[in-house]
Amino acid sequence: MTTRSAPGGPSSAGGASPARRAWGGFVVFLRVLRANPLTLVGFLLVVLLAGAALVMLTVPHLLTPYSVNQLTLDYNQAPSWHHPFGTDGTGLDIYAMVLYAIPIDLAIAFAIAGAALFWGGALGLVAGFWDKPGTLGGALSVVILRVTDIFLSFPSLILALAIAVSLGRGVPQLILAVLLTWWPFYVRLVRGETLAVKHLPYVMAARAAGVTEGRIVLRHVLRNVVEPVVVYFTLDIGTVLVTLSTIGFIGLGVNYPFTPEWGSMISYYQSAGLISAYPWTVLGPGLAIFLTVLAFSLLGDGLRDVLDPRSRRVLAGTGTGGASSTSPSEREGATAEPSLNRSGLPEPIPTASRGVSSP
Amino acid sequence: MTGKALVEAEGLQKFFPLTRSVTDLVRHLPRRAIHAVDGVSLTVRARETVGLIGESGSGKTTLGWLISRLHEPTGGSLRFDGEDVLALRGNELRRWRRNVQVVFQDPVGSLDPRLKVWQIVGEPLRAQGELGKGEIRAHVKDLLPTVGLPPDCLDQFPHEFSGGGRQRLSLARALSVDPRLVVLDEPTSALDVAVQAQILNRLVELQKEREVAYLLITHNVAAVRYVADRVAVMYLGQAVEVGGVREVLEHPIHPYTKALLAAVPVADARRRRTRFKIGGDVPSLVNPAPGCRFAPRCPFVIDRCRVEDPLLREIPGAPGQLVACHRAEEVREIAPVSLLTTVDDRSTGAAASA
Amino acid sequence: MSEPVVQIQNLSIDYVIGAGRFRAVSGVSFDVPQGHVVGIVGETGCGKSTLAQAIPRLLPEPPATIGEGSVIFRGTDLVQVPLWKMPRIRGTGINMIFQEPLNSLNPAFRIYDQVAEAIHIRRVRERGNLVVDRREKPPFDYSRRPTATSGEALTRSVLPPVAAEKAARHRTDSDGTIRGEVLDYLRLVRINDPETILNLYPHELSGGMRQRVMIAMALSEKPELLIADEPTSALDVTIQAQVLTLMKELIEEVHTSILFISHDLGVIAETADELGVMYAGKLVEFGPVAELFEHPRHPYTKALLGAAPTRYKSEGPLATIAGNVPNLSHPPSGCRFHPRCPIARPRCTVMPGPPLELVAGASEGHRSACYFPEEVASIP
Repeated sequence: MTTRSAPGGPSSAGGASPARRAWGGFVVFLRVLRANPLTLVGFLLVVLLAGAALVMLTVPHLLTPYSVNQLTLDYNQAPSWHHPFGTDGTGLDIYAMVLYAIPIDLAIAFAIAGAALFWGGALGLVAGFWDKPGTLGGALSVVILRVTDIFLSFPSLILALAIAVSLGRGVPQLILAVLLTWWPFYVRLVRGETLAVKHLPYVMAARAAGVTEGRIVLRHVLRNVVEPVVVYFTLDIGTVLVTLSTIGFIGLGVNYPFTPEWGSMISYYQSAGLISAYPWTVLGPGLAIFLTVLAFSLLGDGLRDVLDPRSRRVLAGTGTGGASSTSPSEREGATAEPSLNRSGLPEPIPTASRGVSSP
Repeated sequence: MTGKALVEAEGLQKFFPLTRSVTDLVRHLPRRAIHAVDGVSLTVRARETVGLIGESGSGKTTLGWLISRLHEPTGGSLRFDGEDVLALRGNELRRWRRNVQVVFQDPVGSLDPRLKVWQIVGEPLRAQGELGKGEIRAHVKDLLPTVGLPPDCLDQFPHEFSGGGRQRLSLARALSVDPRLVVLDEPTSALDVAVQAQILNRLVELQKEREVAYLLITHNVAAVRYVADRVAVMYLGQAVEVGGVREVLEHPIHPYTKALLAAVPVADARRRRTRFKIGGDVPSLVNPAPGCRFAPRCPFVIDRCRVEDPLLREIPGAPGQLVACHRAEEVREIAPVSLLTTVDDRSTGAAASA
Repeated sequence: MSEPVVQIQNLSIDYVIGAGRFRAVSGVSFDVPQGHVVGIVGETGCGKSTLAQAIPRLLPEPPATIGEGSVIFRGTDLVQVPLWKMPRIRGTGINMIFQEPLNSLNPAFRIYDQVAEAIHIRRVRERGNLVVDRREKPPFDYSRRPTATSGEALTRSVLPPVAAEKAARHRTDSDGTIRGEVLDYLRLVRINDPETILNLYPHELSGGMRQRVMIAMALSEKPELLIADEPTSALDVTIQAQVLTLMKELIEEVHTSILFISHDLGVIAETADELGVMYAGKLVEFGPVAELFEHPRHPYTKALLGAAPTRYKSEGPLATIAGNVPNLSHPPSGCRFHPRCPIARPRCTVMPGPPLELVAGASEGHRSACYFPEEVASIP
């Protein structure tokens, strides 16, 4: 009895060239998207945003006839065909400004979350893996964690505002201000995941196999920590954007209208006191923030399934309908079959049913 | 037959210190520790199988990890092939690891879910750093059939295998560097009965082919009976009885061994009428009281047992069988079955008609 | 034979996952007679725990769906009962003991609160008429508690004695009767020093003690049917023997009907009156334990008995069962065991496969789903 998984499944691409395997992975990704419509929406929105950002950086006139800060002759116009989000009192086209803000906002958000992920993650990995008391690593771990705690004990938004005030206005200052309050979350997250992974038997198995500690961290721990962290990172982009907008709204962000940025746009038009007379001025940037945050949140939720090789197979519809999570397909002798668990059931099923587990 | 001593452990100890609570600090109490392994001496000879049986918390897994140097012992000495293993550091230790490999209990957790079969099985080879990727793949491909897996599953992920298949992968990983000792940590306890038997049969065949020694850690008495040459029974961090598998399992001397053997459920309908006579709970491993560890549950306990630690000693008339019991001579003839009482058959008829 | 507590008739349970669908339990029928212990044994994935959880409708639905069949309890078909009504039947009607004693106790509450809750639920139901059609049951009979043969050792204190007065101070005994009953039940499961245990949290107890508390909780609701799903599998061998001894004693004392699920034939042998063997979602053999062990009438039962570890066997390779456990999404045609069966014939592959029928010439109530039950004895 052959229990091999169906051809086309991600596993049976074994031995194929890397390019083909990558393509296979992409196909799986698309299937997962099809299975989760909300993730698909998030994914499409993110693609749309990225595309728009690219266009705005290269050939902005495909999307809008105006350049950055180009004044039109229409003042305080309500949304119309020519000005989809209307214009403001100086004649700026809101739609154009919202579009020009896309690459800037995305870049700031990615820079903050990315740098926080990198530094916070690295510190968390170190603090989580080498935490044995009484060693150099243990001491370092304690230092990292206490510093993290100090940062975490401040309300992060207020801290960011305080830093922003002292640094002045501008994109780099804004990034630095938020980043300084952002990294501790990643330390906590990555440390927690590392602690969970490092006690798993396969880490011990690698140690027994003679693998060096550094290699264990990179090959076994990091690789299994990455998945939840990437999911968190994706969700976090939205949170960073909201924080940016909040800082911008208070008036400590970038200097609009010289640099287009959504939060600062809202702040600018709101502080001019014209929001009741010309509400469309904040409609455009508000919508942009809402959609961007939504896009990354939806995508982040779905990524969890995409990244896990176990659930991925099921969602993608390959190898569905197995008997139990561990159908012990054993045979002795030279003709032994691959004892595959072709069911590929997702984890929740066996645990939920309890029936298919015995000690 | 078995050869000269491969592993010589003398008085191995492993304590896991507990963090001192504030009240302890205030009261100036000493730091407490879990005495997971407390002075165990054990010899494994080349090409033999030593079974290590005991319940959870008996320290059998910790002892296995000490011998494979996954834990640093708190005390004692450990020699492998005459060499002091505890002195090895860094690269020396890494190179030594090819001598002793471990198969872990958990067939799901002990394989990195993100690595492919050839990476998992080839990991020890790769860690030794002598072979390139192509050679590792070729080696793994040759190795897989010996554990009963097809050679063409190199690029599959562990979750595609059943529990037994995963345990075969673990076994292949352990054997990939031709170790001289494989520590088998509950290799079959997570598997179904029929699959257990397949793995155990395979283990025995592999030992004949590869002349490897096994340290089989298990609570499965039947598995030990079949696979092992000698057996060590552990209770709460100490070895209570060591000897040939036939002697210990057929004529157990230590009361705990008797209790363990009596407790094993047997597929026999007459067991319905039996009652297990040993009571009490397993005491804590945190700073255990002096005296025999089994004394609180032992049916043959005398005052001396609660005061004085029994030493592992040879009993006259039972050569090669070491027992740590003050009353070994007196209790040796008592059969395990006598720790079970048989009651009258339940008044089933009355119950049924009620 | 007395009237059955629960009758399971042709019960089938499906799992639907994505596009896949498989039948975890197919066409299982058996009764649990009043006051009897019925054991169900089988390998991982044979559907025994699915079956156990389907009876009190504890299976998550979906992904599980009860395809067909009925579970007759107190004259009603539980399959037809809407899920929101089930809590009234659970507890006092059908109760369960799970494998993991730590996870099954709420870590946030003391032992007293958990046992008291169970007793409280029972009292409310006894007072009100929430329980439909409550039948007379044999009352709890404490007088039949055996004198301390094993009890003496079992009840030896293992915990540092905390003064009972201290415990009493902490708890104003407003509902003293519940407290007294909680103590009674803890004593029933041979917990010594129950006054101390009352004030402990689950994590402060050992595994064996927790399982005793679980048993006390289950019994305190006086269920008509107790389903024990691998109750001792997470315990150590000697602790398992203690808990099994306790269960055996309780079976004598408290005439509860028990459905006992285990993967271990040895554990089943210790407790059950009747035994059902499941393979690939089907009940392949059912009958009195002694009869089944001595004269199995299904090849799978025979093979399972052969592979079960006995400490007596020593020579030669251990017996295995050839072949693989079938994939339930594509089960073999006909008898599901035929690809691995040493006595399979062409007839065995024909649908719908052998029904579970009384075996001619065997003792009363021995049923087997095999066309050639008389040939099983000839299998080496």
